[in-house]
Amino acid sequence: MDKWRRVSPIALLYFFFSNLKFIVNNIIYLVPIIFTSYDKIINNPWWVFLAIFAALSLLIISAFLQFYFFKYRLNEQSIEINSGVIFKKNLHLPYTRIQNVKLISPLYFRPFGFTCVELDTAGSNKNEAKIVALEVAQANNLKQEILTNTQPEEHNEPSTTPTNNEEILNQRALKDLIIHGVTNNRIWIFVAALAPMADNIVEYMSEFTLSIGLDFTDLFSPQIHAWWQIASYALLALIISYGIVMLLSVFGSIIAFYGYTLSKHGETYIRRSGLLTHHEVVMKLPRLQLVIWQQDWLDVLIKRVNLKFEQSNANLKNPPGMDIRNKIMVPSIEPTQFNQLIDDVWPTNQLASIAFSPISKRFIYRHIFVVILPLHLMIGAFILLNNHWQNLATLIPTFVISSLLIIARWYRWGFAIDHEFIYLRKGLLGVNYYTFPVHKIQQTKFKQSWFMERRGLSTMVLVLASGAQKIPFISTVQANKIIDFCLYQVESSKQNWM
Amino acid sequence: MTTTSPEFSNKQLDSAQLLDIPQFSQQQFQPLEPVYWRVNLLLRVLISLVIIAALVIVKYQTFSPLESFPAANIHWLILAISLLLISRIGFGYLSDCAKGYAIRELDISYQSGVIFKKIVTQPFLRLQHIELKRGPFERKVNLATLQVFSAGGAVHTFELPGLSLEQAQQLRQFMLDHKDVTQHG
Repeated sequence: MDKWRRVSPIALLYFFFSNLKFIVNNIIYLVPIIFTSYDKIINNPWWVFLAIFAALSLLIISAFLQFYFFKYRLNEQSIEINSGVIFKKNLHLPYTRIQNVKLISPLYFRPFGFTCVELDTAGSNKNEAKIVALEVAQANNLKQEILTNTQPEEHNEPSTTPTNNEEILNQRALKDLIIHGVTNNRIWIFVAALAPMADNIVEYMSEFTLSIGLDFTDLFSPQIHAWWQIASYALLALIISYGIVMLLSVFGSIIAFYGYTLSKHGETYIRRSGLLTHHEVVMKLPRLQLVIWQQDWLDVLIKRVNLKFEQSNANLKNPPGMDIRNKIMVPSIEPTQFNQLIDDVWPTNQLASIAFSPISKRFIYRHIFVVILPLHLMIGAFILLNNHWQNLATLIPTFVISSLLIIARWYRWGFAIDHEFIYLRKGLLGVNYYTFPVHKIQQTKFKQSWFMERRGLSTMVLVLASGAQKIPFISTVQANKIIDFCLYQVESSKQNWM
Repeated sequence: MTTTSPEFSNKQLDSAQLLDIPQFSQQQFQPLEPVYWRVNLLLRVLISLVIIAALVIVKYQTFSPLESFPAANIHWLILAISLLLISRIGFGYLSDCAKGYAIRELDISYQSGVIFKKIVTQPFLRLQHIELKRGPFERKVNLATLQVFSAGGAVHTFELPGLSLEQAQQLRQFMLDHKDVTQHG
């Protein structure tokens, strides 16, 4: 076994700056305090000076302590890192699990010739191991040392230009993209593309509405118009804004998916699209974790489907709405095209033909009596306490509608399993199907409340590298059987998940 | 009409039994180290006492007297919070006692929950890295928390608290030496 090694004292800089970065990132919470006590701060510059001095010395002391407690060593089969001042952490990372060794040099390390060694595992991105502050030569040695112990996978990414060897699996025409924009909300793509100009647009819009003689406060004032007039204005406004949103969503869809092709080269799937910036997403078949059939209610009506190929979500961090550009998604295809694509990646799947089992009806009772009813009773009590008893009637439609939605949710829930795949169905007004191979499961969870236990029901969660999949309210016998089968498949096949 | 002979039996068989797949729910779960619930209990009692003491001080202090409405009702608040804290202490004790773990040849399971029971099972094959985490109180009483990370992400980290340091280290070594970890990359 190797001796414990400390990193170079230059790591003090690393800890100092990463703590400083943390503070600066969180300083936004201090803004209201500074804002409200601005006068006091101005009158007491000494206090400000003292506060900054205290913060700095705290940063220096903690950097020193962090440096002092940071040690690492190489064992026969794993690398070990000790860190933490108050909460001590002792990390063991087996060489077989290291996917990649990266040398990262922060700006303040470069003049001194130091670097951080980041050890990537295929799994979580947040919890990767990092050895801070090694000399570049030493870091390269370590990298070699680690890589000889690992079985590095080849990093030959496919060429970015289409070659003749590629087989085109799917292409989307402009018509499909318009359909996609109408049925799916892609307005965020459009908004993101316009973000730099957003302020000007809003200003222009309000000037425009005033110039054509629309005054909203006037329009919706009950003193001037009868209630039915206001109602019809509101309806009109709703329809118009819905139309605008839809139009922008169509633009968003075209921006993201213009010239869409999905092609295949051996085991590699390549997605290319984009109007302004050309996006290319590459996926190797073994990395595929989950195939999703996604249909919103409009999709159900016009019989179109979005297909999603989900990979490990560890290295994807995107703002909401933007992630679809970095995933392999095929927008608004027909069900037969969906079946062709899923059969192409997983030929033995039976999604199209397998029969789904429903979940227990107690799902409905539980959500109505434990969530919706108490909520309505609480609001009702509040209304009565404030003597607005005439408003009580409004609670009836909301109760009925939310109960109906729960029933719709129950109706959509379903699951099926064959010797290789698990299939889930869920949704509300739309419907989604999730298909994944049993052997890609990372972890299983069995959950049961005391009430469910009495009814012989339980909930199971199957964790994949692309996220967790839940099947609620199924019989305990069945849940046990499925979990046992999943663990058996994973542990006996010894297949890799990627 | 012939009567069936006593040896004859044709009961329906469970497909899992037929395949002889091991059943995760039939494992014997080992409780955590007793010092774990004792320390937790002590900490919960201490924190509760501090909270109640702070409220009592607010009630009786004379530096900045409360306005009439809070002054008239603060004893109710203290009573309500005390009841909450007492039930939290009791419930915390029960939930600590309900925690346990079980190890099979190829996976590890952690059971927890009183009203909401949960069993998490982590196959060794899917292990990415392991951490031992020790807070200041855990170090005082020689306890450790074992964390097993898989590709399922940080939210689904398999976490097992309340092991003695030696137990945790042995368990970790067992997993790191496991052939599913050393041979199947």
